[in-house]
Amino acid sequence: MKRCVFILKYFIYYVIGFFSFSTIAFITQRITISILLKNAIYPSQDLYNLLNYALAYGLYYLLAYSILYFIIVFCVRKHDKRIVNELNEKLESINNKNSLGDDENGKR
Amino acid sequence: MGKDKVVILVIVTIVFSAILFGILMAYKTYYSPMKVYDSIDETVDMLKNANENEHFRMEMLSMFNNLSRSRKMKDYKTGEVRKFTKEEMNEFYTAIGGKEAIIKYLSNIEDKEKQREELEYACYDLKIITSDELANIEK
Repeated sequence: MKRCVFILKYFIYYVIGFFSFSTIAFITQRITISILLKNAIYPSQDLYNLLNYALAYGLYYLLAYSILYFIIVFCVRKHDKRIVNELNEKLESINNKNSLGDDENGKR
Repeated sequence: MGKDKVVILVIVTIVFSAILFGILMAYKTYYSPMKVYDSIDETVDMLKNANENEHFRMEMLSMFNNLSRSRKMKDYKTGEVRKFTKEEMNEFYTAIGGKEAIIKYLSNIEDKEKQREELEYACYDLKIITSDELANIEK
């Protein structure tokens, strides 16, 4: 059950991220193309052709975002592991200090 | 680094990557070879014989503008790609008669209704004249 929730959580993050990434990338792409072609932007025309654009570029967007997402997940998990290791080391050193203090005081 | 900072960093990374990717895709589209649905030879013949009809000449100038970005043509069916030299591109442009020929044609249309239609077609659909040029011709 925990594993299912874990996978669902990552999937929801992936979908939300993908929509945000695609929207920003698409708007940037249209603006850059308009600047290069020295044309005005017609948002209604772009919305009308949205399906064509999705079919033409969707795969590239999906591929780029998937790679980015897995890099981010990998980096965040590595960062988490590093923090947990640091905390464990600190805890160990505190435990060692405490045990040394106990020995000096003759409590053992 | 706290959890909030990690979240902010992830969002910033996604936003910047999306902007960068959008710019890259725009350049890729802009400089990609022009796709042709007829064979490349047929399209080259069309470009070389563009001066037969004034309306056709406008369409060919639009095609020439698309071709001039990468100077490459790609056959949609066979996948063959052909790159054109500067001399060949000049030959096409001369055959079409250049933008001057189009402006001359558009300026000399006597029927105002037809002129309006042709101007809008050239400006908004084919994008071979700017809106300033459209306004100048309409005066």
